[in-house]
Amino acid sequence: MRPALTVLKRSVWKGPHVVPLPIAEAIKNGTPIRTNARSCTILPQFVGLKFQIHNGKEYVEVEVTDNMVGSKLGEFAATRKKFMYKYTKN
Amino acid sequence: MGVHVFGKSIKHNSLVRIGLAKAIFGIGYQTAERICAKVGIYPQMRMNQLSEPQIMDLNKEISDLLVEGHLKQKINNDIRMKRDIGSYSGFRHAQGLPVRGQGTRNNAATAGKLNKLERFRV
Amino acid sequence: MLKVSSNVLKRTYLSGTVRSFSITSTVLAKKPAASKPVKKKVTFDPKKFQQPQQKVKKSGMTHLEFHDAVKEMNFDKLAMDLTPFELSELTSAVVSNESGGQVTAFSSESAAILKTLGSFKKYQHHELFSKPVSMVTHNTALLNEQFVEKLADASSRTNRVCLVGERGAGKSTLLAQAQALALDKYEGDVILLHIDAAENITDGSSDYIYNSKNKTYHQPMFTKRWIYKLRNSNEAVFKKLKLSRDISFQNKRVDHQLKKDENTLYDFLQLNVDFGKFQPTHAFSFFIEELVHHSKSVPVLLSVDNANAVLDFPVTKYRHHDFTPVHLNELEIGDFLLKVAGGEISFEKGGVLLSKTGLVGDHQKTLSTALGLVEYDPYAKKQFFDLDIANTLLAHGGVKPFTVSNLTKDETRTLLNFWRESGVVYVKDYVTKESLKPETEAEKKAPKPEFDSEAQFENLVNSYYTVSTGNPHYLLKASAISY
Repeated sequence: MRPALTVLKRSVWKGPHVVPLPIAEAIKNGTPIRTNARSCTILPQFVGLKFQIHNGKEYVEVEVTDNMVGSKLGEFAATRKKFMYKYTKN
Repeated sequence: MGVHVFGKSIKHNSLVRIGLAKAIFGIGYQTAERICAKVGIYPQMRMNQLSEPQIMDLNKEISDLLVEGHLKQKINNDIRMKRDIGSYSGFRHAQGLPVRGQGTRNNAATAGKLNKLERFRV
Repeated sequence: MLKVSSNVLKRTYLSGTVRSFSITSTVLAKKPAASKPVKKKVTFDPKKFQQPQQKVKKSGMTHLEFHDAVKEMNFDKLAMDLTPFELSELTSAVVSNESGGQVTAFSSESAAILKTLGSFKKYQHHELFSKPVSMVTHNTALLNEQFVEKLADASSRTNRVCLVGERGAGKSTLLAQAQALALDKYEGDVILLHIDAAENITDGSSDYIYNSKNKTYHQPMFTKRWIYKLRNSNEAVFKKLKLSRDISFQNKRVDHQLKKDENTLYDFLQLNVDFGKFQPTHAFSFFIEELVHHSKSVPVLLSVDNANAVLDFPVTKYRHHDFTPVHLNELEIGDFLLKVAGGEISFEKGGVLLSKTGLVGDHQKTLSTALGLVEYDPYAKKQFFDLDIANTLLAHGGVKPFTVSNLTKDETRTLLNFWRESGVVYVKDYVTKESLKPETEAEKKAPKPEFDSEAQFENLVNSYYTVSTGNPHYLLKASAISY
């Protein structure tokens, strides 16, 4: 009936937004890929690899699973801390 | 007075396409019109004018769609999945905060109401 | 029973009023002898036990909006009786002698027929008068000459006219007049096919069933209602027309077999009320074929009011099974309309009279292009212009436009004069600033000029004519309607 929202997000002819990453090396050695490209789309080839995604301060270690395909890398490295109410001393 | 379609009692004097859209979760005006066209119900037909076979046809068409409990279950599962993979939107659902980048300084009451891991109680 | 009770009364009366001579306590203490209790005969009186009759609610309440309600609430019964006016009936003779307008009534037969057909519409303010009246104008004379006179001579292919004109110019009224004139001219021997609101064909208010044989959709509900109107209004004519071929059909599980040259068209329409409700039929096309066959002897007048509501908007509210919209020519009635309006189906004697409505489709180009009123724009958008329909209407010599022009000043005066006499318009002296000033002594003594009704009427004619530019709708609005 109607195209899914993921299809509507971006023109098909552009393909998914992907950045060149050393995937071949990672598959061979099993080393985590350290990257700042938070906007890179997770492709099916990434499944099982380890990524170190920059959150603005440090690199968060994430292992890609099946369900993550189609999301962006940045979604899995939160840039903000969760708000916690701290009791003041006074 | 209600006419029973897909286990729902719909007001007898409402238009079929509107009655379906209002009563059944997962069917909007567009889908309802499509179903009506498929079954051969004319646009201005009202609920009490439906014949037995037409109601059966409607039930059959609707049961082919993802509606009501199954749809609610699916939505719940999708949210749960997002939380499980550790996605940002999953976190936001769990916290009851806006998911799509809205601010939270003011006005996030709707998000507080709706954004839960279990959105619908099935 | 009455007797007994009166005795009892008398006794109690006496015992209560006769004074005792002593007022000792014993006497006072002594009770008067109690009269024997009379056993009342209990009988069932139905009058007493009758439930209070439920009053039939006859308030002036209606769920309709006011401008719709005025038609339903029978205000015409309160209007002034028009018999003393001795209005002449609408006949060709009256129309041919027309000059400066003449208010006419419909003859009782034609009024009944037109009422059944739905030619008297709401918003025409028929509720102002006790019976439908109309004014013969220069438009009527022209249409009579150009169209009605030709009904018996020309085929409907060559006699196709579309009434155009601004809103309220009197197009629908002219349509009714044409029908009445046709009835008068051919002394009832004319078949009137009238659709009073063409938008009912396409607005999705009727059921629709696909007939795979002729690749169109039946509209049983609409067709049935329309045929019902036609049958009742053309009863006399249809009873004269014998069927040209045998037909057998089933109605309410009864098989009917109508014989050629024996049964009439009226029998067919009387017995066959199914136009595709239960199964695909060719009942409607049979009816049309019969009409075409008989149009040799009896002229057929197809009149469609609000024709631009379908011709300018050919994409209907109905949907195919795959949700693509149904086009006008895919509906049985719509297809028939297009074919007759385009001249593909031609009645040997007859005519097609279309009429626009001023309420919809100002920006639509189809009909006006087909009538030659607007130049063909090859870049026109599809939703505004349907080339196929325009070409259909242009085929076989095309549909001629007939511009319904506004009233002339003489006609305005005639009409207003009739309204004044029938109590619709009041002519009175208006309060002016001048008249509100306190009178001086000299003025009080001076003889006051009498109110000149005629002069005031002439003033009103002038001002209303200027305001409305002779458009009857705006004329009525300016002079009488306060909503």
